[in-house]
Amino acid sequence: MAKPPVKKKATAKKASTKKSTRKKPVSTKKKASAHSPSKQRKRSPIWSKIWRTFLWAGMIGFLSLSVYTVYLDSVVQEKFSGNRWSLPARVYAQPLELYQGLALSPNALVQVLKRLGYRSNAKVTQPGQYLKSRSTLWLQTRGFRFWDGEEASLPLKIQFKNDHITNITHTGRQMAWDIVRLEPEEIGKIHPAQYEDRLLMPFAKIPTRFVNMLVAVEDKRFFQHWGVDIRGLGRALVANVQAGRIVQGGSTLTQQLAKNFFLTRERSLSRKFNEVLYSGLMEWHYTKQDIIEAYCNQVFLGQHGARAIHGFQLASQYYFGRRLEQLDIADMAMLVGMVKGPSAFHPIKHPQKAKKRRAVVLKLLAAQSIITQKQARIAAAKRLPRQINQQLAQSRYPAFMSVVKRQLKRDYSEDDLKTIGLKIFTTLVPVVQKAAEDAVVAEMRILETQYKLPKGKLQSAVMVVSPQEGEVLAVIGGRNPRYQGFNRALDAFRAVGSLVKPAVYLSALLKSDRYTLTTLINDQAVEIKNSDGSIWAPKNYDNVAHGQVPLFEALAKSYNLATVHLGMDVGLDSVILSLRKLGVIKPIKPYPSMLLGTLEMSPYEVAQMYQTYASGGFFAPLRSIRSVLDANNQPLNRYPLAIEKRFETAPMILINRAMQAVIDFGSAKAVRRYVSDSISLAGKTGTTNDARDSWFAGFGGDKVGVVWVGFDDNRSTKLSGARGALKIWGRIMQQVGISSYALPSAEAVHWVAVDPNRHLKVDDGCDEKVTFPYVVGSEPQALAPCAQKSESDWFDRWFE
Amino acid sequence: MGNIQKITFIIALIMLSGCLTKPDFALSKVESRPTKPISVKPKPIKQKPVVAAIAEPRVNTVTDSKPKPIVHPAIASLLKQALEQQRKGDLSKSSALVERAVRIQPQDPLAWNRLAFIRLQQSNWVQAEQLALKSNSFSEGQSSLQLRNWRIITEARKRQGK
Repeated sequence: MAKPPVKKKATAKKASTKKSTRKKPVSTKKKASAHSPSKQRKRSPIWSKIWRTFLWAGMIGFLSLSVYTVYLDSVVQEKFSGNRWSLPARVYAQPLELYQGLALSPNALVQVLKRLGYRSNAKVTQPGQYLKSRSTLWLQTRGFRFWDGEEASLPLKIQFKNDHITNITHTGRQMAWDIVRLEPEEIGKIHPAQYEDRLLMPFAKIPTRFVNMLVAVEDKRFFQHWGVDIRGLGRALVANVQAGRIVQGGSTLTQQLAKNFFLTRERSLSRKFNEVLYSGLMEWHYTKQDIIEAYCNQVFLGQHGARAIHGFQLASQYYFGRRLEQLDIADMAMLVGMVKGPSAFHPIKHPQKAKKRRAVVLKLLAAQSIITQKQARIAAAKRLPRQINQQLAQSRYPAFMSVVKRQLKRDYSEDDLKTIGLKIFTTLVPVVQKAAEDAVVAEMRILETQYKLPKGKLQSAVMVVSPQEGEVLAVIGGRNPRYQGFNRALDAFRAVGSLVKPAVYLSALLKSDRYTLTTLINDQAVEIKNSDGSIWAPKNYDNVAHGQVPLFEALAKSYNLATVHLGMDVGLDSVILSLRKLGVIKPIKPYPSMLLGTLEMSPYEVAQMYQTYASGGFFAPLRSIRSVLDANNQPLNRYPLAIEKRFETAPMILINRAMQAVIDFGSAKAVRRYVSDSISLAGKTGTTNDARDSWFAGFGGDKVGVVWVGFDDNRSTKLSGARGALKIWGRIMQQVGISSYALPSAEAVHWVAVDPNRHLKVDDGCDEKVTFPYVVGSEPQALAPCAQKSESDWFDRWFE
Repeated sequence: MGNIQKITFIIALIMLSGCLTKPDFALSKVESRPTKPISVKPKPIKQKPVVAAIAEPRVNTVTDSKPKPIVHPAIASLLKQALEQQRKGDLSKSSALVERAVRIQPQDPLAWNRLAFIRLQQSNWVQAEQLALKSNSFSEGQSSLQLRNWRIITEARKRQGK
């Protein structure tokens, strides 16, 4: 079927010439009026007076009508030319990339598809459908306009083995497909309290068939009339008079648009009058296409809480989970039928009425040969949608959204955010976010029971970020993930405890001439005089001093005394400098107690610090947004990946090696209950005085996770880092998987076999030895008296 | 000392030793995601793996002659598309494609190198230098790639007046 004919093409030029010609009759009338009364005057003064009064009244009436029309005209033009619609900003998660080798089970993919509103079907013929067998999944993607280009709708077959994708085939072309991006999940909108929602659709994107259907049902003579259909109006009038009540509206599409655009819902003569004027003006200025386009974007098609569903495109996605151009006849007919009464013919609330209405529409279409009788029959039998598309439900991730909003507010005004239809592409990974929510919810309950803590009070916050890029993958702001208020991940500043220690050890390892991982340091009682004269005498967690211990072991087991000795030796300034380079920007007071983590930080800030460790010294400012598009899909703003090398690779290898030891045999070994031994991880636990805060920060190759657990009122939790925060971290990574952290290699680092407890080199003849990385030239030179002695001594110490 | 303690200790040691072996770079390149690496699941009792695992002299003779890591088809495809866009002069699109590759395989020095080169073309000297440094942090043993990175670094520093 061809596109509907273009009735006329109005340009601004044309409009202005018409306006000027319209003034002419006024001036000729003026002349006439000036002329004719003079004739009358001769006849009778009374008639002349009456005549004059009429004339003046008529003139004033006409003039005011003209002025009024000009005013309405400006209203019409403004509405059409400016930002016609108030559009909320839409916020999207990271799209899932599918490719050969990706670790993803068929069931996990189905979960993702369901969240995107895909529906399982016995045969995949339309976008938004999928079919899963045991190890194969067929789907047709919907396609999406990303900021960097269009991702087409593709029919795909995806094969799995051992929870990995082994093959992706384009079933249409029967060829292997390297990589495909699914549509991103919409995770929220930024909008006024009550709002109209719509997805803009230009005329070119409206299927011709749909336009024909709409016109056939709502306004048969749309392409002939000039805004008002006299014949139709007459017919309606006759029908109404015959029926004794209003049974036919007789409004054209243009009039309906005028009504929705400019007028209230009241039924009065003056409103009808305005409606006709507006319709005429719209037809005068704009083409039929413009009017259809505006109509299709304006029409009201449902209400969802505070959100009004406007326009066929959004309605299509709301009711069917597909774009309008992807709908079949039955679904299109349902939407067209709903124009008459969106709540009366709601397919879920009133399925019978909706089905009846659709049948009426289909019959009408067949009668006008828009569709065949057979098509109408088949379509009338089709099932109505049974649920609205969940993807468009309300904001699910308030904590993440608040991170996004904070970043947006730097670049956009509040008003623009709510009304100009920005599309915001974020870094959130819904699967990770979901896992984090589940972990927090479950573990809060378990911990409260297990440690007899007051019910419902314990709080937690989580940050998960990508190590190399600093992208925020998930944020939890409290024990109730749906709660919109206080976001602890951003705004709860708590003492970090031992999470600060790696910075102390790193500062030492930066001085490779003095410190290596196996340098023996002092874990002995220490007393430091504060500037006010008071004495600070920290203790170890187990209240025992351990004597001479290798540096890496002091960190792994989080010895306080050794840390203070080390920190005082390298100097507080050096430690503060390291913290700065790791990304801590807040003021740090140079008190010795700072070495044990009196510094107060938010989980967000801690995540930034551990990102720098996890990336081998490349600081990447945390980002939650990748790009912003305007309502017409034009890129407005990009937040590209940015990094900065803050440390040499060599000392980072050493400190991360020590943080691996924290997990492998130190204070965080409980992580292994959740993540297999074969995955190398690094991290650090943190516990503050009286166990007020329980922290864990850990990373693998693809994720950095930071978890805090505590009470808002600073009460003791009875939880160490390992007993509280670590468990949540473990649950998250167990659920979503974490890749192995491979220590980078560097020419400046040698791996040397040593006896770590004596800081002695062992040679190849020795049986027992451990290899550690050393900055070249710093490795121990002295040789151990090997083999026979080595077993007993350091072996035993580790058992104590 | 109890048997349990002994076993725990040995397991701990094995875990430790697993990490101590010099990471195989070629392997780490194709593992930006949680796959199931061939783990030497320890059989704690009849063992000598502690020594066996860590006594392995470090495979240190990596040069460019080392077998090239398996090129990931998705990465190859993205980098190829990026190159096409780069040739067309659409650096912004090219950069977006490479960033996707980086996200999929964040330890791939080639992708970082490409990104550095694009930044150089975009006259973003600071990031060109930093990204090339990043590429180098993953490219030990790949001397020709290192050389290309150093060229970018030199140029970028010169432009910054360093």
